[in-house]
Amino acid sequence: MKNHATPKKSARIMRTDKGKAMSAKHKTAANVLLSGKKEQITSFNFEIITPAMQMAERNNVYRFFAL
Amino acid sequence: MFDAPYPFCNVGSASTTSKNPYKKIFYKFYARKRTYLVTFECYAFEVVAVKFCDVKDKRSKKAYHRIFDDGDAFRVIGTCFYIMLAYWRKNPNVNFVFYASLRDITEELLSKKTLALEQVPSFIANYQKTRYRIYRYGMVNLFSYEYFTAYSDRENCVYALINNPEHRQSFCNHK
Repeated sequence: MKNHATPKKSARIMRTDKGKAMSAKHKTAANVLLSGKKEQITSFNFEIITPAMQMAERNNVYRFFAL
Repeated sequence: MFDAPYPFCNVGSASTTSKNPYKKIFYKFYARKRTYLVTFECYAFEVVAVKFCDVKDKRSKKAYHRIFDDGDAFRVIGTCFYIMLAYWRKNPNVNFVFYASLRDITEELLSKKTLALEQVPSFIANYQKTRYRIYRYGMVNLFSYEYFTAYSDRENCVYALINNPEHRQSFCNHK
């Protein structure tokens, strides 16, 4: 196994750069979410995670990513 | 848990025949027992959906539902977070979104548990949403509210990180 090695580009995947456009319908994230419930319209119910909620929920061992 | 990512590389991108997603970007990395393919689907409004699977399953219907007992799950998920970080550094206005597919639960597993009848629905919900809870844990711990506003939908297992306009403004001014 090529464990811990920096992977190389595989020729087969690289070909997508130059080849024809891909079909977008094949297994998009939206299709995975809607699989099994094609006829339904998903109603979303988002909750905003406020800074206070995030600070309360997080584990201080981690450092935030930064630009 | 998430602080030892595997080395990864970008293996190319492809435009699609649709408006949404209009492009897919591919990364891969070698984990302990398998090679993973990470796909970023680029949608309108600079929204990027993040997906990952075993490269051997990329054409399988079950690609995003499979779970492997390799003992490196957090490292694999952490690598995806670091790929997001790399993409964000190149595209500071990006908005990320993910859907965590439900974990399959079997009658056999339920029968092994000694649960009171009223505990069963909550156990099933928790078990099925394990992926969502782990991904959310990573998001909450690694992506700061200073850069992104986080939107969480527990019911549908969807999580979105929307770029903060205030930060975008200060970033542009700084430049």
